Amino acid sequence: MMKEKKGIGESIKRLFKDPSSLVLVLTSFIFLGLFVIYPLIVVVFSSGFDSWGTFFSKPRYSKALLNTIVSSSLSAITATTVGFIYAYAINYSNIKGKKFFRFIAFIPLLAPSVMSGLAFLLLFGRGGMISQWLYSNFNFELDLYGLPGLWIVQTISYFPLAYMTITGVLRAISPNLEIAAQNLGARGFKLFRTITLKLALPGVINAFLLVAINCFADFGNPKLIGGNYSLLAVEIYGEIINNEPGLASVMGIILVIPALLVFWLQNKVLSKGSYQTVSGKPVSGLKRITTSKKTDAMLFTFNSLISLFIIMMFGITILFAFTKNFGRDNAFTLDHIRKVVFSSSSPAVMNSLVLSLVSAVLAVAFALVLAYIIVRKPFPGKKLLDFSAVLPIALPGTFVGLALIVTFSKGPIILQGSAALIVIAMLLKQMPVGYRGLTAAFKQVDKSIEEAATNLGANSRKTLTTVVFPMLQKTVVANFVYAFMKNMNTLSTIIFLITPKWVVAAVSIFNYAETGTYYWAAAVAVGLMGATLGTLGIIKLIFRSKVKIFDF
Amino acid sequence: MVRNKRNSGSVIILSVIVIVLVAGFFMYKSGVFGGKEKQKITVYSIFQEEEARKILDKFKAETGIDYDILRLPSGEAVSRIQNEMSNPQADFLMGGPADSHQVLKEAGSLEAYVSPNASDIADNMKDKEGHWTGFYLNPVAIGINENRWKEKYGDAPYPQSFKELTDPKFKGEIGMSDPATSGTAYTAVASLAQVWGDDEMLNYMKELLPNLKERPKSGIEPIQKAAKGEYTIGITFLGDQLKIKYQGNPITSIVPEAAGYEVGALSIVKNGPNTEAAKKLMDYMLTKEPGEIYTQSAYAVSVKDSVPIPEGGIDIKSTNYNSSYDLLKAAAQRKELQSALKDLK
Repeated sequence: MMKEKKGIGESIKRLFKDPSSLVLVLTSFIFLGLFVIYPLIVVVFSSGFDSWGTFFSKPRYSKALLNTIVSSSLSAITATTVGFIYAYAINYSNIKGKKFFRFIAFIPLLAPSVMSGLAFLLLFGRGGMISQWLYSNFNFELDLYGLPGLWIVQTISYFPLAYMTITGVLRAISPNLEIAAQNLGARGFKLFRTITLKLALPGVINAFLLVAINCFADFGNPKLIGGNYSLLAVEIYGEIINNEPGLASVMGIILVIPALLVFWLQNKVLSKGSYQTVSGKPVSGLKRITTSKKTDAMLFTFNSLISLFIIMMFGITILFAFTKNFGRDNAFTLDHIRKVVFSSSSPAVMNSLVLSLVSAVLAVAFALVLAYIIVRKPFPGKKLLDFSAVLPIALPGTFVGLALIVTFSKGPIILQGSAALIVIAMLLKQMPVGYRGLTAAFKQVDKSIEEAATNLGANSRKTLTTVVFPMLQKTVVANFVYAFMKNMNTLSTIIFLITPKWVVAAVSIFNYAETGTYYWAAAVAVGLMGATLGTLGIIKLIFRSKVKIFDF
Repeated sequence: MVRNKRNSGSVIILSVIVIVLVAGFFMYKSGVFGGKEKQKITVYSIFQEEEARKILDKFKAETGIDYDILRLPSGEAVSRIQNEMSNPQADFLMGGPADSHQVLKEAGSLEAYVSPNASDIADNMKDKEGHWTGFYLNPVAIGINENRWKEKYGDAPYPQSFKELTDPKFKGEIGMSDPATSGTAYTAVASLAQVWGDDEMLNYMKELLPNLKERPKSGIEPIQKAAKGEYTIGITFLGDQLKIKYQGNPITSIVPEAAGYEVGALSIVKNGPNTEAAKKLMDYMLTKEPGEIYTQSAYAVSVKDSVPIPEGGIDIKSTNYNSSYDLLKAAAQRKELQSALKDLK
């Protein structure tokens, strides 16, 4: 092997000797510079002093900010609590139906979070099924618009996120510690409090922060059920409509600050204080100490209630999609599905599918290129490239969409009105996740394996395609699936970027729900879930056991 | 990417299929297939999408012109069309108050087209040069919750004019959105100003204020809340009141003397991708059928006498509405009146 030489001059020289790598490096720099750094700069500069002044002088905006903080904290607390109990029940108790409960927690991931808002309206809104039933039987008027409704809906739509994060942590806790504690006399709640909860705490905090950030930038649900309870993401939307990109940018920046803070916290503080060990697999032969019968019963009831709620939400959506006007006319019909899913004038679901696939493929391909050059190729500006590749993960979707529309609707490059912006916005949100995963995977593939291949006569392309890529296959597929599902369901990232030709399903659901055309909203939601499930099914058929989908 | 022998074949075949399908979809979208016979028109709709689609489906059946549609609130539609002036995305703007269309006209975003079918529309309901054409009318009305009225005022007759609403017995019983922010409430006060003069309107609003329970942002809210019984009277557009009434609420609507009205309008976007089709759509919109479809679902009144009053609707000609309401004057006065209104209290 060549002797490694260090120094910027040397790395540039080597880069020029390897033109294909040079092209990759330059493309990455240009792409990230154009779509991450440049929009950020434009947003910061278009938020003039006037706009900052307006923002702080009008009580309306500070109220929106306060509301946003209050509601996302509340939702994050409850979603994390629910997620923790749910995960604890599945991982620590002897309850029956764990598979079923895992399946239930997976369902909300199939639909945009705004679908929870829609289902909530159908059940508890004015004229909702349960509200009507309460009114006619008990003369009780249910009014959950505003904070209460928002709180419930965000809890339900984000608890799976908390559940997944916390499950990962709970699984990594070695049973040895608990058994040791038990031998030392800790029992029941004390064992839970001093060992399990303590070990899981970093994960719980992480889950809380993740949910809080998601709620903070959530757009669809606050708009649907927030009522007069105004929130920052909704105000941004209003200012974009009012043609006030300056004010919108100010609020966008305010939205970004806590997100960046959380991002930093996750990277610096949590990773240091984590009790997880890398080889944290449960020691074989040792069985986890589980809960008592009484606790089991409580946990089972809790999980069943949550499941019931989720089933009700999806059930009512399906009922609305397949009946003329559920509650008033319960006749079965395929009309709605035909009109808004399978009609050439209403291609929203098709658009979602195509754009999500294209964007997910590009996101993973780009992540692969980035991870490859960052891990394997020496070149100047590596830190900067790495930073701008991970940065979008910390930016709320609303902000990404806002930055792209503010930047590319005026100025030297105009992309407004094309599908490209939608694809790019989705890509920016999902690429960093894949990039992180693939960087880690690349690092795990030992360089010596590649060197062995080279010594056996393979050139660098052959080494890549026959040795490295097969080893990364699982990560690539997993990230593709994740990006695809997220793309299908994204609303806040693309709400500003929609054009009449490229309306996507999540936006249709939101629009129909907002204007009260519930059966169409439900039909699009069902179509979207069908498309997602169908695609996942095909992926599962191809990759079989190599990809973890539908493994409950 | 995948070099596993067992499934590499199927993966390659599948990727080829997917790429062909995706590329085909993009080409279909950009109109490569079907040539010119299969035209498409792009519509921004401020109407509810369901009504717009009903009309556009009929249009498609008649002319073979397919459509893309995006529903937007009126403010967003206006700013979108203005922002897209260098590269217009839409051909046609359907619905929304004529004031919004007037804003677009003044910005130079609209194509002038006088449809032959517009000849029987009154002059104050269309733009002279044809930049926008009226489609429906919706007058401001006093909506009364009958049950709450009975509880509060027994058999007293319902108020028939705006002036009666300043009676102290209505303290806290009226809801009207804020004329400084809501188009609905602004239409009401602008019409009063035109009939009574600006000063008398302002005096009237001053007297009315103590009776207002609240002044919400959105125009439809007062009647929703009156229907729920939060107060007795809501001042909104008539169509909204009738809609809520037919959802099973005990609402009586009165269109009083000097009531202004909203004109819902249609316009063609300048330099849109398919202006020819947009003109065809404009002609079609001004025939009887679309008028019927819309007025029936929105309980509005068509600008054309040939379109019958929808079942359950109210013929505004039977009321004392302000038939000479000048919406352009109202738009011109807007800033000045709204700032005067903000000084009240």
